[in-house]
Amino acid sequence: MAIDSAKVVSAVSGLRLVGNEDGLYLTRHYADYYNRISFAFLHHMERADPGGFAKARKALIETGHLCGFNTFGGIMLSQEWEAVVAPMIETREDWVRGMVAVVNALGWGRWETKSLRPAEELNVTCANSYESEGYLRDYPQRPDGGVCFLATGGVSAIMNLLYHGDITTRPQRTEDYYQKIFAAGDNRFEGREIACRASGAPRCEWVARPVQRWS
Amino acid sequence: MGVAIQFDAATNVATLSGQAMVFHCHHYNSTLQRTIEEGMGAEAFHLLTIAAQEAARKQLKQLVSSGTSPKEAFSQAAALFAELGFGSLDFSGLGPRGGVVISPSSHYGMSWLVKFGERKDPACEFPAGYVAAAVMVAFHLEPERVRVREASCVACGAPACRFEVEVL
Repeated sequence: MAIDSAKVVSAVSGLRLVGNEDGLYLTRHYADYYNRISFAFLHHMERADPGGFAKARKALIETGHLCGFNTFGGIMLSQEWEAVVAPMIETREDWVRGMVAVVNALGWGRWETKSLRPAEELNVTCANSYESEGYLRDYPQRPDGGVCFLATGGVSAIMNLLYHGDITTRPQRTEDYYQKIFAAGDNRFEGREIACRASGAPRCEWVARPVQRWS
Repeated sequence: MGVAIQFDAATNVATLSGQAMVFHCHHYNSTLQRTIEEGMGAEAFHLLTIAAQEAARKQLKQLVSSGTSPKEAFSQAAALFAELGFGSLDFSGLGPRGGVVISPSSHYGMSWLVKFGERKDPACEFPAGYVAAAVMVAFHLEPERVRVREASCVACGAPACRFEVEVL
């Protein structure tokens, strides 16, 4: 059985998700709030330092890693996952597709898996990322540089949780585990935004692959 | 208050009164706040507060009908705040010239405490901006006339978060 994305989105978007006993406390928050504070921070850093964009990007993607580690990790170990997604899972790749389907219920836009090479690369595209949508509404198009920092961190988090760590064994999501799968080893996945609507691309596109394979 | 968030299955976008709403957890909320505070220093407080005020004011203006009494407007604002997962707000200490709002359970204050421990300065910039927005909408005030200061915060060890509101 393949992952039925529409079924997952329908089921998850209808749930009254507020949190779980694992310490995951969810809010339904303003996309505008995240965009305003993230992009004002980005612009502040760019004004302050010629290398400000890279510093801000690194910090905001790292925040996306923590989001993915905790939110995606928490979801993949949740009762809702067991009830809705787990019955459709046959392979490790189904975990990836299942998580992308769940993301599609979070209000972040319509994520589509362009390609998945097991343990090697995940490529996700989106025509309406809330980050690029917010950027283009409030600021001029950028000459370069993507602005979908959360999504970039999220895509690499999915791969790290499945192929560098192993969330399927239900590990404790501790600080040590986070460091092990996001900060250690050339096999850890790094996400990059290779196209962004905020810079004129028709769609945003994020790729996660092992650090050593980016060079 | 039943919050009617609309989910568009074609775009996977959720909206409430024209505002896009996204799920995020306390880990992300607190960590993003810390990232911005560390990067911007003292300027972060204003940004985090004014961004909350901007987003919440737009929405509350749509949700709260014209002619609604301030008491009812505050009731709706508190219900929405809770429904979205931000905790509780008690507006009963407020009047047209200002007053006090208490949050016994602020998502931002409690999340900071859980993730990072106690801090020196209050952590509830988002709720402070939300409170300001509610006051503006309830009393039909321009943003320049409302000031909110968090006088005590659970993230600093206080039993509840206390927002002092001044109407200029």
